[in-house]
Amino acid sequence: MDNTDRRGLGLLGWLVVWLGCAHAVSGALGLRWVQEVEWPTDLLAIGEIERAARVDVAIVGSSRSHYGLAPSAIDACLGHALGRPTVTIAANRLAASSYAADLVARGLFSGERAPRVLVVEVAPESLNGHHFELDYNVGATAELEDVPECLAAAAHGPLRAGACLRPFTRGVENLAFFLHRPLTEHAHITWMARYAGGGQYCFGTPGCEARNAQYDARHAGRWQTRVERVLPKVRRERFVDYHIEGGLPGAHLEALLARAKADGVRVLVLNLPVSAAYQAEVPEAAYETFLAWTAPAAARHGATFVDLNVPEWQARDLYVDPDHLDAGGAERMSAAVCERLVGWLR
Amino acid sequence: MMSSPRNQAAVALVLAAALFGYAAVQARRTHAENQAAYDAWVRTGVAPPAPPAVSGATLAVQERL
Repeated sequence: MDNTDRRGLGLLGWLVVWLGCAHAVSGALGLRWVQEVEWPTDLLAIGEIERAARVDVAIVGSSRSHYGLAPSAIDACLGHALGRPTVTIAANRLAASSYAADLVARGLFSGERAPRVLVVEVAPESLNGHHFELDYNVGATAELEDVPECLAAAAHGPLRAGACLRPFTRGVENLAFFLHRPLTEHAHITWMARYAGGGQYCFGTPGCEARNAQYDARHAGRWQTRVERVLPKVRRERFVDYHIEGGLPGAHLEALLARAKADGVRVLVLNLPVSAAYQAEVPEAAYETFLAWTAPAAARHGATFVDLNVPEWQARDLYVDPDHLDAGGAERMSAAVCERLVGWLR
Repeated sequence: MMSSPRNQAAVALVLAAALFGYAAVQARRTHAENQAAYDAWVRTGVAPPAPPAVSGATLAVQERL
C-alpha cells in the first residue's frame, strides 16, 4: 500500500464518518421525515406535533387516500356520532406502495404512538411486487435495518440495489432538504398538518370550503390532461409482471397488519375507488389477483378489508382526475369511512 | 496555510459543527412553530387562520406527477 492508497482510504474513511454523523444528527433533530418532494403531506409536521389526545384514526397510503379521505370531515362525523372530539391524521406519501405505507406506519403510528384505528389504503398497483415506483418507495422510506431485506429482494427482482443504499445517505439528504426549506413554498401543506390533520381537502369552515373550490377550479383541466397522459400508460407502467406473492409490498402489508395487531390497533384495509375510465385500464386478471390476495391477508391478521371500488363510486363527477376524488367525492367518502369506524371507537 | 492533514481535519470538523448547529436551531424553531400553532388552536378553540391558497410551486409539482 503506497501513499496514494492510504490517502484514498483516508478520504473514504472521512466520507463514512461524515455520513454517519449526518445520519445521527438528522435523526436526533427529528428530521427523519423531511422529504425531497413535499407534496402531498408535510410528514415532518405530522410526525412531530404532539396531539392533545391519543390519535383515534391514522391514515396511511398514497395520493388516492390523500385526496379521498379528509381528516377534518372524518373527525366532524366521528365527533357527532361519539359525542366527543376525535383526532384523525393522515400521513400519505407520493406514489406509495404498501411498502412505503408500512414504513410510514412503523415510524409514525406504532408502539407508544399507536392509534386506536389504522386505515390503510390499498390498490392493485400498491401491492404489485413490480411496483412502478418501488425504487422511489425504498429510497424514500427504508431504514438501515431494512437494507438486508432490500438487497435480497434486489437480487431477484427489478429493484435496483442502489435504492437499497439510500438510508446511508439520507441523513445528508434530509439536512440539505431541510435547510433549503422547500416547505416554505408549500405553506398550505403545513397548514393542513397543523389544523386539519393532513389530506388535500378540509371541511367545516368557510375558508376550507373556499380553498377546496379554488383548488378544484384550478384543476378543471386535470381530468382531460390525465386521460391523455396517464391512462394510456397505466397498463404498461403499473401492471407489468403483476404479482403480489414474493414481492416487497405484499410482505410489508402483512408486516403492517401483524404489528398493528400486536399493538392492539384495529385496521381497516381500504380499497378506494377509481373512476370507471381508470378502472377500464386495470387488467382484469391483475385486479382479480389483488382481490383474491388482499381480503384473506387482512382476515389472517384480524383486519377488515373493505372494497369501495364499486360502480356507485366510479362516476366522473366525483373525481378531479381519473383516479383521485375531488372535494365533493372526498366529503362523501370520508363520511362513508366514518360510518364504518364509529363502532370501533365507541 | 492549512496544509497539514491535522489542520484540514480541524477545519472540516468546525464547518460540520457549524452546519449541525445551524440545523439544530432551525429544527427547533420549526418544531416550536408547528407545536405552538397547533396548541393555540386546540387550547383556545378559536378557528385557525384561513388556509393559504395552494401555491404555484405545489401546482407545478402536481402537474409533473
